[in-house]
Formats: sequence, structure tokens, C-alpha cells
Amino acid sequence: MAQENIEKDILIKMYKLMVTSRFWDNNIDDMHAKKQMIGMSPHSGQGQEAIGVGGCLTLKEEDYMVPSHRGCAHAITKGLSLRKLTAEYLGKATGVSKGKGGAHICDPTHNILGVSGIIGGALLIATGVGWSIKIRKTKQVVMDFFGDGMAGQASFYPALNLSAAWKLPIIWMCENNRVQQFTHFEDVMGMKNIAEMGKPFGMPSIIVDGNDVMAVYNAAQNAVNRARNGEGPSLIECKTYRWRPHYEGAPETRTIEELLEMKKKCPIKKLRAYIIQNKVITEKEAIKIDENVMLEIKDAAKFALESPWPKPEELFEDVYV
Amino acid sequence: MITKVVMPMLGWTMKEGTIVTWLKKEGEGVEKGEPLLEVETGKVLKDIESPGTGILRIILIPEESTVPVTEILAIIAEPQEDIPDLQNMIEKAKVLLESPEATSIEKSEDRIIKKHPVKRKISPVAKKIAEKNNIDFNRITGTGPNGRIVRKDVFEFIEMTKYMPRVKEVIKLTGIRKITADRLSFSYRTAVHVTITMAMNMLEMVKLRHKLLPEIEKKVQSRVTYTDMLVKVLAQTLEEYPILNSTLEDEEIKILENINIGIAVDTGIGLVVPVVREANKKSLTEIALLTKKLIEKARSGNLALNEATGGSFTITNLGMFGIDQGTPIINPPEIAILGMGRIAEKPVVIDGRIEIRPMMNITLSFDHRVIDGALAARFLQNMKQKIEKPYEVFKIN
Amino acid sequence: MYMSEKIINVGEAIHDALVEEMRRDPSVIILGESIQRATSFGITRGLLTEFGYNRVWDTPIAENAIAGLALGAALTGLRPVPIIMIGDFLPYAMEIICNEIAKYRYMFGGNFKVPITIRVGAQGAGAGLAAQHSQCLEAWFIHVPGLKVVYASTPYDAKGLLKASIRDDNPVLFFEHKLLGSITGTVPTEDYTVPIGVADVKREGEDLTIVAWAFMMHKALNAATELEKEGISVEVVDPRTLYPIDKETILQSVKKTGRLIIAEEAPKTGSIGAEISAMVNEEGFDYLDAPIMRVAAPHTPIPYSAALEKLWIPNVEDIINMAKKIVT
Repeated sequence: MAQENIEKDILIKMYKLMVTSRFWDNNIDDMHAKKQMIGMSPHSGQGQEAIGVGGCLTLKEEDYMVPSHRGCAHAITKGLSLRKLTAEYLGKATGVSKGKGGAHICDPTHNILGVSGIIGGALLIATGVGWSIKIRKTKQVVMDFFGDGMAGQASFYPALNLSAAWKLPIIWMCENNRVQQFTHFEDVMGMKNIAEMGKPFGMPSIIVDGNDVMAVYNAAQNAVNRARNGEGPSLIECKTYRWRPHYEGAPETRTIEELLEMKKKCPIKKLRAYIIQNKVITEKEAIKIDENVMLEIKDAAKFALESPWPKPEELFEDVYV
Repeated sequence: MITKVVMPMLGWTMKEGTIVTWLKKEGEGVEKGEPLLEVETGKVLKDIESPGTGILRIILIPEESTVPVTEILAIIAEPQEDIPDLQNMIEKAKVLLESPEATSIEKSEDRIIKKHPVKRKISPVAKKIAEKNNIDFNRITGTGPNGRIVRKDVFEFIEMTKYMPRVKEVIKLTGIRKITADRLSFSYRTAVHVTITMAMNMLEMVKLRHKLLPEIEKKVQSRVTYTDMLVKVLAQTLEEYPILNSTLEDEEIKILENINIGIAVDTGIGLVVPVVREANKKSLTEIALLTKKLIEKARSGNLALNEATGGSFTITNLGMFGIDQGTPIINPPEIAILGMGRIAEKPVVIDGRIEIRPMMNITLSFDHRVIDGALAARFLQNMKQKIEKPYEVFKIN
Repeated sequence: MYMSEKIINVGEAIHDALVEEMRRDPSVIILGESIQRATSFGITRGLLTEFGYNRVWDTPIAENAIAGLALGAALTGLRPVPIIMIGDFLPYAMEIICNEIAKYRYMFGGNFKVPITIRVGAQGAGAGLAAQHSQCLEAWFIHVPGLKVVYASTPYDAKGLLKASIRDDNPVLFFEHKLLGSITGTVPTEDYTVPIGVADVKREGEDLTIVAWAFMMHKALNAATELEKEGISVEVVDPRTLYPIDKETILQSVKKTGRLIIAEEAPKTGSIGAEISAMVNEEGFDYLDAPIMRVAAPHTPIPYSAALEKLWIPNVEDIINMAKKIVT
């Protein structure tokens, strides 16, 4: 894993953002368990942080990102504030969607579109965003994160088709964590790799180690460059592993042995070892980052807990403009 | 302890009674001897006392229903006490209530409507307009689909009522007034009323009364009235015309043995008819004594049930109010009624000369289904003869 | 009063509205199946020539993609006007329309605007196209908060409503009936809009209100003419917008006439008529002089055979008969 081409400060950002995603994820699970978060059980993204972080670090502020429902690494990396994120999960008025979306977060100030609760639609929305960029000729790109589950949905085909047909500036970032809700990938999917699906449409389609943030970053960077140059979409299949059940409290359909084995491939551990070994930062500095992240997350949690609930009249707000 | 409340037999002729009011509600406690319900029979309303102490657990027969005497009306028992045979009693009550007798033919349509309220169909807007204008929409005929009262019907009704007299005060038809109304309207609707009038020379009656007064009044402690005297004359005439002393019920004319003369008395709150039993067998003194007592009781509201039932013929005195003559309505199931006008000095032709005589118009309303006009006329003629030569009747020379 | 007017049909009115709005606002783009070359029943003719490929897009036959493209574009600064060629194809786009487009503003806390006008073309029976090319599906969409539903019956309304819809920052479903194409009417040549959410009394009357829209509105007018001869004076209210519906105009009319029939070309169960009926019942019960009645289609798919299709479609006679039943 020689990634000398990645700059030092990017590596540090990667580390910080992955730790932030992991700790935040852990913390929101805790808050949910403590009933400080009332409502939907979080779809934990633990174990998959490298993809959102690696992918979104290649995007410019003006680029669009269509998030998936699992974890918040992509949104945190794209710039969503931890305070607004946490408050939204708690259903508070200070949340990024005024508490009306919950885990369906967004952040228009960072061109983060909304997390859909429906697996499938986001692919077509991302297609529409790519199409809009083409029409408006703005040199932006759009990166769409989706799980292997979404590749089984009927919208996957027209999304790939249209992005290819019209050479849209889209990066299809597939997080293949091998499990769709409770169903195992191999039981329901006809292809071995989702990346194969891009080939008939003539788009670059590659498989990367989704637990290697630098590999993800490099692959995404190539795809972003192509897209920005008007060369059309790319499909990147990031092989990864989901650490937690479908949602907190849900049954686990995989074996403990498998889970323990896969946790050994922790993307954060991997990067941390790499940057310390390559003297990007010292272990002490890494611990300092961890501590700072922890403080930020605590601050966000405190902010969210102390934030007011939405006012009753908010029920009728925002249905229409 | 379980006590059954039954329809009491309030007089020897009473066959059935109507519950006018339950004075206690189901579930209410009741003491033995406490007034429990109001029963109407004939023209008399009577409070019935509770036969037992406990909770009025169930009312089997509701208000406005008529049932035969001795039927169970309600059950008084302890709060949780098991009532054996309750289901049977309920079933029996149901059967009773469904029988045609339960809604006795004496009842006015109003009562039947109250018992089985007919739900009139009315459109929402029509109902609103009716309510706004204080109109009871049951009075409106609907012309909409399925007879529904629609807006147009209410407007037309309002238009129509614009030209009708306005109501100043509403007096509810209750008690005696209601009973009277029901009976009279029933009578008027069923009996084929014919009314004939004959002027009678009262000269001899007046003379006679003056002659008898001192003697009888000593005994009676009151004045002998012309009514008393006419009761006597009437009773005698009825002996000769038994067909007029009869009832008509269920297509049967029953000629009655007893000549029981009912006297219509104005009590101030309505009309009651106390009965002078076997008036034909009583002397004028006896009649005068009795009527005085009955009228006093009637006016003070203390008339016993048996004192106001069992009449066979009714007489009503209109003359005391200065009326010359009226059209009395028969008191069913009787078949005729006699109305007395006032005694007035009038010129009459006697043996070719105009003389002044005290005259009274006597009116007979009779049910033409039973009596023909000629017979009725002969009856009046007979009375006239007796009135104009009363010595025989009163056994005085 | 307008300076000048011309007589055109509903199809031309829609065409004119599109042209005028695309000229007025460069962010307006249109997309749909076969709108570049075949011009979707002629409505989009000339648009490609005038506005070019960057604003007039042919899509694959993928209605969910059409809706998704529109949403992505609407969220990023464009004002797309997608066309679902035939109304019956809508269900393929249902997920995007009902779960994404309708909820985007609310679920994301008012952070986004969704200015999309989905034209739903060629609805309605009567052309012998059987069960999957003949439906009127507008009732499905009034149930979804976040959507507006409009359905014009005349050239004037069609043009004015389409322009208002395109300018609206909310998602609007603009329904079109295939038999309205030939209906002509007067339309101003200058710019105007018909506000969304405002009904129009197409004919005034005293005895009975008929609420009807689209092609059914014309049947209601014909029925009103016939009923007039028999002394029944009919008021015809065209809601024009089915959500948010103009309750006030309907209630005022019912207040005047006391009777209401809702006529529509769709199965009665779960219909727009059911909704209007319930609304009047809740808010105007005291105005009613007769039960609210509906003239609607039977609960069957639409048959192909002309002999059967004719029976399926609610017609003028049905309206007349129903009117006579409740007006006495």
C-alpha cells in the first residue's frame, strides 16, 4: 500500500474524518440505546468509513454528493456539521432538516442531497443531477453512494444506462458490504461483482478494497477527473464489510467467526498503522486527534440534547413552498 | 325481597288502565307507600303507591301504555337480587305492548306518535331553516324523493304560516284536559252525532222548585238545582226508553240495567263527570244530596275512581253560564247526552195569546248509529211532557 | 379584458404555454418519450428547432428515470417539465413522484425547492385503447401531501394553468385528457396565468351544482343544457385544481343550489368525487337539500370493445338521470 502520491495533509484528514465517523456512529448508537435518541434505529456505517471519506475527499465544495442511508462518513467528509447532524438524528429543531428527516439528512450548503429511505430512487436523482450539470455546463460532478442492495433495484439499470448514454459527470460509488438488510449478496444477486454491470455501458468499472481509504481515494480521484473532463461516468465497487446489524437492535444473520475475522480488516486501524509507520504523524498525535474528535462529538451531542424540539406549527411548514 | 308492581283494579268496572307517568326511574330506590306511578282509567287519574320497598329494578310497561288489570308493570327488588323468571316477564310485557289494546283506541294520534315516533326525512338545509324559524318540521309535508322534506317545503310552510295567527302562549295538554280531549275527539270521530233541540216550558218546574225548596233544603243544607230536578226527570224518561240508556262498543249495543247519570262538572281545571248511580231509584232529596257531595269532591280533586266511572248517560248544564243551547258531545261509550240551556223568560203563544214563560232549550246529542231521529224526538217529547207536568215525576200533587 | 385573443384547441394551448415559458425562463427544460421527433401528439412540435437538444430531451422508455431526472435537475437549479406520454405509464414513476418528489421539501426541512411540472398526457377512455391506455389516474395523487394536481378542461385554462404550474416552485401534476385535444376556445395572445387552487364556475344555475373537470366538464355542460329544457337549472363548477381544491367555490355553489353531483371519468371507489363529497359533508352539511351523488365509472378495468367501453364511460345521459333523481 504505497500511496506516496497522497499528500500528507490529506492523509491526516482521512484519519481524522474516519475516526470522526466511527466515533460519531458509536456515539449515536449509545444515545439511541440510552433513549436520548427517540425514533428510528441508526443504520450504522461502522467498518465502511473508508469509502465515504475516501470518495468525498476527492470532491470540491461545489460538487454534489448523493448519500446512501448507511453511516455518515460521506456527509461528514463533505462538510455536514456534527452539531446539525446529531440534532437531526435526535429530531430537534436545530437539525439540518429541522428534525423532520431524522437519519434522512442533507446539507444544501455543501451540496449534499438528501438520504432517501427508499432503496433505488437516489440512483435516478443522481442521474438527474448529473444531467443537470451537463445542461448547465458547470464542470461540477456528482458522486452517488449506494449499497450492493440498490444494485438489485430496477432503477439501477436506467441510471447506468442514461449516465453512459449522455456521458454524465457521475461517479457511481458502490459500497458492497455483502449484505442487503438481512440477505446475503450471493443468495440474490446474479453477478459476482457489481462492477461488471458498468462494462456493457462502456464506463470504467473497477473494484477496490473498500477498507483501504487510499485505494478508494485514488480510484475516486481518477473517476472525478474523467467526469469533470466530460468523459462520462465511472463505476467503483468498493468491497467492504458491515460491522453492525442492518439497524441497531436487529438480528444478525452472519456468523460471529465471520464478523470477528472481518473486523480485523478495520479501515481505520489500517490507515493509522500506515501513517504512523510512514511518519505522517506520531502515535501521540494520533491519540490527540482521537481525543479532539471525541470532544467534538461530545459537544455535538450536548448541543443536540439541549436543542429545542420543533414547534407544533412546524408540522405544517415546508409541505409546499 | 321481590315485589311485583301490578296494574291495580281501581273500581269494579275497571278492566284496564293506562300508565300516565312513572314517578320513579329504573334503578331508583322506593319506599312502600310512596307514590310510584300515575294510572289513568276512565276519566280519573290516580297515584298508585309502591307495594314494596327496594330498588325499582325494571319497568316492564312504559308510560303511555294501556294494559289489563293485574298485569305486572314493574319489579321492585334488592340491588343485586336475582329476579327469577325475569325473561318470561319481559317477554310477556312485550307481547302485551304489541297487542292492539296496548295502544288503546282512546288514544289520540299524538300519543301514538309519541310512542312510536315517526322519523321524518328532512334534508340538512331544510332542517336548519326549520330550526332557525322555530318550526317543528313534523308539521311539514315533504315533497322530495322518498317524501323527504326539502328546502322548498320549508319555505312554502313559512310562507303559509305568515298568514296564520301567531301563538301567544302554549299550554300543554295534560291531566284532565288531556283525558277530556282524547275522549271527546274519539267520541266525535266515531259516534255519528245528531243534535236536536226542544224548547220546554219550565213554569211548573220553577213553581215546583219554590215549593220544594224549604222542605228539601233543610235536609240537604243546600239549594236544590234544576240539574238535580232534570236528573230525576231524565232518569224516569230513560226507564221508558231503555235504548237510550245503552253503550256501543265493538259493534255491540248493550242496554244497561242501571240508570247511572253522569253530571258534567266544570272543576276549573277541566271537566269531570261524577256519577249518580241508579238515579231512577233515588228521590230528589237523595239526588240533590249526592250531587252536592260529588260536585264538591270533583272540584277539590278528591273524586274517587268509582265515583266517576260507570255512567250510562250524561247530562250537562250549559245554562248556568247563560247559554241558550249548545251541542254536547257524547261521552263514550254512552250513546247520548243531554244539554240544558238557561231558563229565560220568553214570549210564547199559548192558546192563541202571547204569554211570557220561563223557557229552557233542552238539547239531545245522540249517536245515530244506535238511535233514529224519530225515537230521539219522541224521547225529548216525553221529557217535555214530564217537565211541563212534573207532579207525577216528583210524586207531588 | 385582454388586448387580443385567438381561438385554439387544448393541444395548441399546451404547446403555446410550453413555448412561452421556455422563452421566458431558460431554466425550463422538457423531457419525455419521443418528444423530439414524434412531438408527443404534436404538442412539442417546433420546440427542438427553437430550443435545441440541451432543452428538449428524448428519454428512454423509463418513466421512473424521467421522474428521477426531473427531480435531480429541479434540485440543482433547473425547472424541468417532464411528460409522461400516456397517463397509464405513471405507475412506473410512482416511487419517484410520491416518495421522492412529493417529500423532498418536507423531509429535508424546507432546504430544497422542487419546481417540477409533470405533464400527464393522453388520459381518458373513449379511443378504444383498452385498460392500460385509457385511465384517469388523478385521484391517486391527491392523496399524496407535497403534490399539486391540476386538470384543465378548456384551452384558456390549459394554457394559463400550465404556465402557472411551470412557474410554481412546487411539484405539480398537470393532467391532460386525450379527447380534449379537439376542444377549442378563446385564449388571449398576451401573457396570463390561471392561478392554481382556484375553481371556475363554467355555468351558473340555481337548482343543482355539478362539479366536473377535464372532458367530463363538457359532458356536464351538455347535461346542463338538456336539464334546462326540463326546468332544472344547473351550475357547473370546474375545480381546475384537484389539490389544493377550491373548497370555497364549491361550498358557495352548494350553498346556493343545495344539491351536488360530482361527475368523473374514473371508478367511483376512492375517487376525487368521494373526497369532494366528504369535504362538502364535513363543511357544508347544512347547505344540503339532497344527498350528494356521484356519477362515475364502474369498478372494472376499461374494456376494449366499443360496445363495452361505451357502457363504461360515464356519459351525459348518466348525469341527466342522476340530476332528475335528486332534483324534484
